Amino acid sequence: MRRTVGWDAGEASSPEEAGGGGPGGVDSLARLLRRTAAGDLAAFEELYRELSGTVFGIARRVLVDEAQAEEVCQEVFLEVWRTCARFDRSRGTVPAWVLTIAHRRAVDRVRSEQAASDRLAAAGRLEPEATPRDAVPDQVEHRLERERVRRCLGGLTETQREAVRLTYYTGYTQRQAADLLRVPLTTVKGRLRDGLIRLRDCLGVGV
Amino acid sequence: MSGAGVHGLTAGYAVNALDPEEAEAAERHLAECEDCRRDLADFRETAVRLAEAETREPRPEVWEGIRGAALRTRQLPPLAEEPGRARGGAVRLLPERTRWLPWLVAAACALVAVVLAGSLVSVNQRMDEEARHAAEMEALLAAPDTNMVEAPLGDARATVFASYEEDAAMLVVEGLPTAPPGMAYQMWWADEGGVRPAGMLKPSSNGRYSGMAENMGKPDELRVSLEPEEGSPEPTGEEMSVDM
Repeated sequence: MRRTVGWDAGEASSPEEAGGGGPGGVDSLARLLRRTAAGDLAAFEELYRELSGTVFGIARRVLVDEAQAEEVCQEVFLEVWRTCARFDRSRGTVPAWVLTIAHRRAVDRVRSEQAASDRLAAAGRLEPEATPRDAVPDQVEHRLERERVRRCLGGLTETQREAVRLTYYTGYTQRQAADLLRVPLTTVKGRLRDGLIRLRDCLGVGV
Repeated sequence: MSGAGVHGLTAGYAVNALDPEEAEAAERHLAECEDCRRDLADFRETAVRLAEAETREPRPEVWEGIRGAALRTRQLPPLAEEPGRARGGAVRLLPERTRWLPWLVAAACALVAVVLAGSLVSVNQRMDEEARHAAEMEALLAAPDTNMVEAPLGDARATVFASYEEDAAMLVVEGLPTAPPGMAYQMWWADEGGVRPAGMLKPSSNGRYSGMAENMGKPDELRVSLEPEEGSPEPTGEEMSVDM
């Protein structure tokens, strides 16, 4: 089951045009999205170049399977193409919007297929891969971002890390995670919330 | 309303970890709670960072498939504003930093600068340079004594990975104004012996700047100033600093 109306998908777009963003930054993505909404395929391709690595990366991480991650990547960008006129930037950034769609579609697949045990075993790792397998030198940005996330995850308590892993990376609901860990649902909620708050602060989000 | 219940719902909603009924309750609550919407935006931005750490380029065929499907897919028009619906004009969930600085014109200039700089060296040289740079970075991150410091740098936000063993530091800055044409950001080491050049910062993705500062020694501070793009022997622009 997929929710199509939420705090990311529907509603009128904001008339506000003020704001900033560097090259490839938040603002230029918003401009690309507006041009895409006007049917500009070149802008859509540019938007794809900016965000496809992250969309595919998180889908692959959650689903483990490359082919499924590619399908999710296609679904996500088609949804972006279809609904981008309804993006509301007062609710968050373009990457947050696109990656929310991507993560939701990936976990929807996980839940509908209900978890082959090998996939779960493979998803058990928490840290981003330390060594990229790509032949080309990894972009400085990505390498550092990976390192930063790894360190910030390392700063969580074991139980917070587990809550983040089971929900965000594995695609469990909080309730499934609570059942698995044999702790009350409220405990998992608290751990996830505290873990996300700590990650938010560690990663410098919203300062 | 506040406390673990509501915020737990927001956190769970942000990472798609709610049952359908809970998700509906969360959406109803979010409509009423401005603080929760702010939390939601922050949590989602946090999730973007987690996802960025997983970045991996899909095969080229993926874009071909999307392009083909897009050509056959009608785009939805913007939703008309519903009369009487509270638009909450004061609500802004954009992170502050996106409004820090007047980027708008500067962004285009920076892109031109990058292209020009890139065309001056051959592709091979650039690849070698990149590979060398990547190797240096790997060595730095792998060094046992590498320390991560996050600190404000002027109005921007700096992350420094520094290792005495490697005698180098990697600086990434988020939120710096784009350097005007012909200008660039230069790093400096400052200690009791004075100030010495430490290399240039280069624009990288998402409007960030990054650079490797070598010959670190035992500095008190890492500074950054805006200089002519070929670099200066000593700082001429206004200096911003991070304590080391």
